[in-house]
Amino acid sequence: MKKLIAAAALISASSFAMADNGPAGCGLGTAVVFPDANEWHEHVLAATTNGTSGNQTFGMTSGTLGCESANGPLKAAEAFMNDNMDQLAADSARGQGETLDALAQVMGVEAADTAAFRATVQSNFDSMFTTEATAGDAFRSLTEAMSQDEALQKYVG
Amino acid sequence: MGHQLKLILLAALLAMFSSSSVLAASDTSHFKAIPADDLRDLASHQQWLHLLHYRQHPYTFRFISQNDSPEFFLAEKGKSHAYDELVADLNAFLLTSQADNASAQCRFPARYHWLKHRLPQVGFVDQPCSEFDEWRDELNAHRLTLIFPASHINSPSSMYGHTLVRMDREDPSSSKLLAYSVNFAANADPTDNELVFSYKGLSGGYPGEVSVMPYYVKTNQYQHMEYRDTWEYELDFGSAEVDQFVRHVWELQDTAFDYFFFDENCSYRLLTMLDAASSRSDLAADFKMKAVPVDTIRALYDAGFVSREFYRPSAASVMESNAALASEQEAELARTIVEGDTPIDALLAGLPEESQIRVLELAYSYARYLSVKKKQANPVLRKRTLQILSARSKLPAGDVFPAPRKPEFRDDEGHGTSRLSLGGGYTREQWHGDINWRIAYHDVLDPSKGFSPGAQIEMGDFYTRVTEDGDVRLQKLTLVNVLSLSHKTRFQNPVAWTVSAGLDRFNHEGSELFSRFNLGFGRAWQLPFGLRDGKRLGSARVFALGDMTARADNQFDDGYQVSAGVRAGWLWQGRLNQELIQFRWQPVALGDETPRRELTIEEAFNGFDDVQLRFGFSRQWASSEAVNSWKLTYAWYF
Repeated sequence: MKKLIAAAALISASSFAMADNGPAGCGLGTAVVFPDANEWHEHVLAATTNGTSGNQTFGMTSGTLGCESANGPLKAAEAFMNDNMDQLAADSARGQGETLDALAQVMGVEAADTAAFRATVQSNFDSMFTTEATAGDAFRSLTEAMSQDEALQKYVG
Repeated sequence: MGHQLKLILLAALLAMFSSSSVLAASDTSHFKAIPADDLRDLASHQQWLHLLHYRQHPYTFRFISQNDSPEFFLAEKGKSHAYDELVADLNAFLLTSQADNASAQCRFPARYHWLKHRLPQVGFVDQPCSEFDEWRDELNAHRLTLIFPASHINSPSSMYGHTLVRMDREDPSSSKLLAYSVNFAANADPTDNELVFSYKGLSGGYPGEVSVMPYYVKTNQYQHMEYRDTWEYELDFGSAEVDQFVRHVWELQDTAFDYFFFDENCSYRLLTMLDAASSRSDLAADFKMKAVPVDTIRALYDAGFVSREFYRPSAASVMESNAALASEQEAELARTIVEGDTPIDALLAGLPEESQIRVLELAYSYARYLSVKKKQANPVLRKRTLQILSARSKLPAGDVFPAPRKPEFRDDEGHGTSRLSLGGGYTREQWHGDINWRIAYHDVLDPSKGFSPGAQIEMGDFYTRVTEDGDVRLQKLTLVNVLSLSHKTRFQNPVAWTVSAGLDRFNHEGSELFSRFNLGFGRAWQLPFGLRDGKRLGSARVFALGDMTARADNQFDDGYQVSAGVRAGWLWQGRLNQELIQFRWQPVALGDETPRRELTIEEAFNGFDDVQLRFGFSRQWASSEAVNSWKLTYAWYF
């Protein structure tokens, strides 16, 4: 694949990192929640030029599910969190939402345990999301909390 | 010779070649032994041409492929000779004992699938393609959904729009965010400046490439950062067609099409990809000179491909909808929480739980708005946003606000993008006839159904005038005319702005064509009219902009005039009519020092079926000399 043209790709900086992560294709969990705007609003500006920016990601080297096949659902969950920290924080605080449900799906949480998953995430908001915590830290707090829960411990093995 | 016999001969011949793995892919001489009619039929089959992205060139009328990468063809002349490409591909597909992922079958799985289906007599042997198989299984596509992010708030240039395709999983409860999406976009060079960027964009100077990424990458961008509402159109493509679409997307990997903003753009390319995937689909043929994204959606409707629509409100729509449902006190408290540093518990103390949740939800939306839209990058706001969410996490889960109301009209239900108007007028005691043709897209007086109120973008607007004396002349030409009269709301405080450029004339006697550039910034306020039972029947606003106009022509002293002043007005956009009354006052000027003023009153009445009747009056002053002009026009949208 051709080299990524950095400014042309609109996706968050964390996704670039993912593309560079070698064969595993998984994020390192480096993103923090609500990064300072001056690092990322440029992407918004670039985006106003509508459909004139692309990147050559083709599904395999980026994205959560590439990780799933290569490294299992837990690694995929961390990568997903890395790409969706802001929406995930908002959903976690209210204990529901599309992004939270997507995380549950990536982790393989079954429908019967969804309510427990949502409740666990909401009640552990403070340990998962702090100003300094990266997606990797948030992920470790989440799996720690899930391993304390009878219904959810089976997903973190 | 019988049809069947020919096929048998062909099959025999092909089978013969298949045993020879040293055959050069471009070698066509071996096919001369048989009548080539069948091969020729196949090579000129619409589906084969669609798979190769062959289209008639709009100027040369030649059929050539729009794909500009040599990698997309096996034959040397594959870009212009579909027959050569067919022969080369057939030869290559017949090779056996190929290494995993190395065969032409793996490189062009959609072509291979189609030819295999068309030539069942030929003994194709499937070669191993583990990379493609893995990729296809990961996408796991069962349905296609066309995604249309509507215009940004306060960014009329985005009204032009963008489209992509989401490949949905079979299980409808599966997360849409995790589904993959296919996006066609130009790879602009970030070191190019705006002018080079525009020029290259229009002239095909950037390569357009297909990318595949999870849909959440797009929702994070459109829904949460750009604040664009999104329409999702589920397409009626069967699973065989979806499979072929996926195969074809794979074929486009690492190839490029020159990207042209107006015709060969994102939306056009998606149509050609759908055409390649389905023999029922011949959608791109109608878009020879331009492909406005919303028109491509209309084409999908006309062809019966849209089965359902879904509305995905942006974070801004959620905030506005919630703010309208909250009490004045709750909204004020939300603002206080975001802007101050008093402990949140103390501010919320005494409020009922549900009210606390409403305040915190609003506060969160507002904090994000400040960060994303107002670019207030500071650690304090960041910390405060986390405190807001932390407080929210201590309260019961669930929604306290209903989802935003779905807009009554989708963007694709608005008027046609091109406009032709015929009119007559009376200026300086002279009658004249006007013909006006606008390529795209919308002005604030056009029927407002399906468009953001207060937003306008016009591109390529030509006015020709026939005067009483029989003169025919270009009266006016607008290259681009953007007006954004976004209004202040409880939480949002956008800048209203305008920029336009083109050629124009004054109404004064003997005024010749001059070039004109206009720029303005200011504020707009929505007025509480047009509401009935909480439902908006129309939108009324007033606006005031600082106004700067530069004009150049030898009719001006020193050859130019730069005027500065104020532009203020009233705009009503309703179901049946639109009205714009505005006054421009330009007392200060550089170069030519003539002070100018202009009053315009325009009334537009919407008819059925994309037509409109418009009435206009303007009075222009140059120094103290004033000229009146009256106009009546009838417009068709198409």
